[in-house]
Amino acid sequence: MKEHYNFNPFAGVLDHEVNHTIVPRFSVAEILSQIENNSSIAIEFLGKQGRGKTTHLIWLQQQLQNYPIFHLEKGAKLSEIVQHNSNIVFVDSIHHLSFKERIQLFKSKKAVIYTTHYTRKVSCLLAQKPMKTIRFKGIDTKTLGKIIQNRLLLAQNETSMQQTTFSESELKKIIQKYGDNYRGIINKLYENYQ
Amino acid sequence: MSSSTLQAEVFINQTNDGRASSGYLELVSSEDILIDAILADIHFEARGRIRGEKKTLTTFPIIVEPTLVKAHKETMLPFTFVLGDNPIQSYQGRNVSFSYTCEVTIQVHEDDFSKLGLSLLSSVKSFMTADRRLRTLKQFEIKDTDSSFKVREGMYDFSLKKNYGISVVLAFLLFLLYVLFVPEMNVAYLVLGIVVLIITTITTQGLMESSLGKIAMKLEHEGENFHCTITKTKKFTLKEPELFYEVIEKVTDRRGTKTSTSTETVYTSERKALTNFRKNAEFSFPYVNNPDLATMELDDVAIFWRMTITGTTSLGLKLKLTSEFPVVKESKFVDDKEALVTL
Repeated sequence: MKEHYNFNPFAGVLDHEVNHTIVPRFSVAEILSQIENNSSIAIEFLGKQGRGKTTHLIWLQQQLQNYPIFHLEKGAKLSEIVQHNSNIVFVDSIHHLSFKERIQLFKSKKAVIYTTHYTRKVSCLLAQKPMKTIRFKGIDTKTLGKIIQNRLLLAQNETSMQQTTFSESELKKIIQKYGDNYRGIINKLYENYQ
Repeated sequence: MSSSTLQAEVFINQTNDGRASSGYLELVSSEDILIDAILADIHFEARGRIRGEKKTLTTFPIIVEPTLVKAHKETMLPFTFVLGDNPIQSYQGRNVSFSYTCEVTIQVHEDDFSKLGLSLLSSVKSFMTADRRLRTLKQFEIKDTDSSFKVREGMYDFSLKKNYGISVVLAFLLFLLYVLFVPEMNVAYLVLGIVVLIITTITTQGLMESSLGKIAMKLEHEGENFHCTITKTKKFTLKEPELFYEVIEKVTDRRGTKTSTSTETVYTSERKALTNFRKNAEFSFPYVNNPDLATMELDDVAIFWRMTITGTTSLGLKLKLTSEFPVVKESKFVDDKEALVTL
């Protein structure tokens, strides 16, 4: 199996490969119109871990490259985001900012598109920021099959004639076991291909 | 409609010293083709349960002036490159892989480009870019198989892994007392119970550590093996004490909104019975037979070696003491040289 691939198809992808593997839940035009039609807006990607929030955020930012993306980690500093001259920012893992900092961020930028496990409605309310939520929940065999296919194709050695496909019943079995936890599914497949 | 083909394949000269610095590009064409320029990039790629990472380590020209590839004749274009002193070794682990790629970009002269179709050789990845250049990729490995492991000699202290056995028993007893004697939900008792548990856990750990005293090991390199002498400052005995070492791969996954760590034991040595643990116990362990597993610490990836003592106290508590130690790779040639100097 390994010889058909340049690398494990279910390993972490490079940023520029996100576009080749993602099956988007929304269109860029949809988000763009939200940003353009509102003088101020927060767009939250809401869902449990492993549901594709960060992947969608990276992909969206790649389509709107004039606006920066901040991947926050423990101890993240708000000043770096606020001082950036862009009025539209993408923020991954907003929970690394304190409640007060989130309000400050929402007040200081025209549009904040961020990922979160829990809704930040209260922060938005206090910052008087209109909010739109995109929920990352649910899975179907068609989407999963396409994601798996995209990853296999990306990693496939061009000289290999091998065409691995997952049948509908295999995909159903995977979903039965892992639900909509895409990360869990990808991690399991990674083990099989490593 | 073009019928000419240009075949391109990259070869990297494989060495065993943990470096790579040369190779050649082989071109075969069905017609005379003039090449304006050929550039090569060496990329390093890290993939696994991490966000993928790709770095271009060096870029260099393979030809510096236009070159004619004659029809039906193999044109070999040698090249050399420099990757720095200690390139990361190729590695295929459980949770991460490191690999290298040589990407060659061929700029065909504009008058000749229209003649071309493109043909692939097996195991070659070639494609035509939008700006009418040809690209070929070749994966290769950098592996130091000439070197052997060498433990960093010295003294290493063991530390006691936390044992929650007593805490679990105490928690159960407190819970029973609470159920039997406190009829209604009482937050004060719950808080008191938690505080007692925390204090007991800390005290038990402290008492065990002081009763064991300082346990350390002295490590020495001896060819294909390393020598380990266990020393202790206090007299105590353990039931069925054992000594072994493990090689552990640790990968921090920062993808997504939650960071997680995958820790996998990729090798466990033979377990040695610590039969003479009352005195200074001496053991010899062979190094693991896998040249990829030298101690390593990169951004989110680490490989480390750990010695472990396990046993049970007279009270029935299971103990685990561990000590990490570095093992590097060293050229056999250096060893020979040292040996000569010693002689």
